[in-house]
Amino acid sequence: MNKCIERLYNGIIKENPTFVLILGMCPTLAVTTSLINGAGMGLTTTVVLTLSNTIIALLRKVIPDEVRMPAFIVIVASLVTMVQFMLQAYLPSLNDALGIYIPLIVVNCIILGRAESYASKNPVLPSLFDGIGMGLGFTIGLSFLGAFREILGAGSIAGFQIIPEDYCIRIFGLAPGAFFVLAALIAVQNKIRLSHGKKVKELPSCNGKCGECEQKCDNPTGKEGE
Amino acid sequence: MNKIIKNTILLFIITLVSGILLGAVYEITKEPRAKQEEIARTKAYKNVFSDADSFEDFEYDQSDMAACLKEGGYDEASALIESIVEAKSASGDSLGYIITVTDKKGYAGDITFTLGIKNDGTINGIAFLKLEETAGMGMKAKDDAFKDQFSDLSAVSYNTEPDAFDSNGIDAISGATITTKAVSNGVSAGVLCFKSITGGDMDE
Amino acid sequence: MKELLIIAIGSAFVNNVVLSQFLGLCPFLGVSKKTKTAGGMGAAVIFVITVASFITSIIHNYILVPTNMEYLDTIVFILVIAALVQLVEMILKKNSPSLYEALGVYLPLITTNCAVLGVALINVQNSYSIIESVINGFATAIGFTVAIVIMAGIREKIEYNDIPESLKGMPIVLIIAGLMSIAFFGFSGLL
Repeated sequence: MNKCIERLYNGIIKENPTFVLILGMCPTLAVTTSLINGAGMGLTTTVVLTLSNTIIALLRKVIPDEVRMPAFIVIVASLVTMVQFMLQAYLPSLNDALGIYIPLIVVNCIILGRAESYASKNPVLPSLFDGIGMGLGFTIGLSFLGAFREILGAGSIAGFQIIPEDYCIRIFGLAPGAFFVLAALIAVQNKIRLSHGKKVKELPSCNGKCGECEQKCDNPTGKEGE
Repeated sequence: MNKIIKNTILLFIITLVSGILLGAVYEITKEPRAKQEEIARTKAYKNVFSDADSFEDFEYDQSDMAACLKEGGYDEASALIESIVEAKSASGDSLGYIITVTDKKGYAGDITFTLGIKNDGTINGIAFLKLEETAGMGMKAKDDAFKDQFSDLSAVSYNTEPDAFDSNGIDAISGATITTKAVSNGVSAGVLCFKSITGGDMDE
Repeated sequence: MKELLIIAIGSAFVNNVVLSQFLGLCPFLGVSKKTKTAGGMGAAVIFVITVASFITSIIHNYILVPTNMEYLDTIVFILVIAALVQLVEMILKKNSPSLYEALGVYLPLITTNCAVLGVALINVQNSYSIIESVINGFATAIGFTVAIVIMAGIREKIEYNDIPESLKGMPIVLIIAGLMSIAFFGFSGLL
């Protein structure tokens, strides 16, 4: 049981996908225009991630090593499509708000990354909790970003107006605002790290840690050492 | 070689099982999904025609309609008519038409809305089916302050020229002129469509 | 013809894939250190997205729609893209070593690039014909390349600048991306 709690802690705080691993940037920036959208995207991803981790852990001894990537992709893509149907059937408003970013959960680095680096090597229960932990970590990151952008850009939080609209900074609701808010959040983190004598965070290596490309990322050209 | 065959078979089985499960979920959710769409549509109809009791599909010639819109300055890259339904009262009398319009020139993609016009040519109002504009800017088109400006305008005297929202007394959403133009052009297309199905002359 | 041009300009500049739709961000942030590598990545993306748009659009219009199986779009597209990337890699390796030399190393990175799947899905969503899909794919990829090359150019320039310690690395790159995104707003009046 301890291991499960450790997994939750790991996902939410120690290896938080948004702030520590900097993974899954596309949805992080695209759908965080409001708190509700951010949280909705986070929870949808959590569901997919938990299910995919569980299924892949169950099948880890069945799936041959050579074809594991295609097998993972098939499993994840089916799960995402199923979740999409569920949303259309029971939560149409969320489905409309997230739009094309729901099918794009398939290529979210976090999901394939966890499948590859954790679920395919560990038993079912820890993998399940790993999925929940990582998912919640992602949800927290997205909600945080969404809340910030909603307050600054639209003067409201979860739809409630708290700042009169004339005093809002609209750009935070738009694309550039997404970049700025994330930049600010990471800069604050760096500041804290620096004051503890640690180094600033490096850029994510190309596609993060998406399975196979991991080694190639450090040196994409493959010849000249940069 | 044996290994390749074994891998292929395993991968095939995984894909097959996923596919079957996916098909099952598709079938299970088919009804609720259709229902949600239906609810959304009826709601959008009711929003623009609250006194109507039932809605009936209205048959029209699509190529004629496209030609008519083109004449008014709207080709298929700017605005198109998705569907037309006739709003009927409880006793089955025709009250007017609800035209579903898609304008292609929204800031963040297509904007689809329903437009209700009474038989005497009064615009009843608009309600959005698809609006994916920026929160706090183009999304304000959803607010009553903007939307209700179209209510009670007369379709007969409506200026249907592209981008002529000013002359119809529509105030633009501040910071979202593109959205404003898209919506008002969509309404213009709907009005043209209404004029074409009623033959230009109103009942009263 | 006019419509194709509108689609092309729209997806290359007005709705730039990285700066306004946030697709393909990972390579945009990760492979933008040098203009040369950024250019290589861009070329590989142009190649893959254009071919992928063509193939997915054929599959959608001639296989999935007639058999009423549009709901399999996502799963079929991602598999096709993964297989396509592998295939392109193999063909290039065998037949065109020089091109493989230039693009090969970027190809594996593209499978999980959400821009490729994103474009395929956008093509379906807007019910584009095959020609429109190819144009849209090509233009989107051009937009990606323009953005990543500009980004790499700026990063080369600021490499020796005195950046506040806590802004080093990720934050400054994100701020540059934000400023570029504002600059690209200028295109929005174009259509």
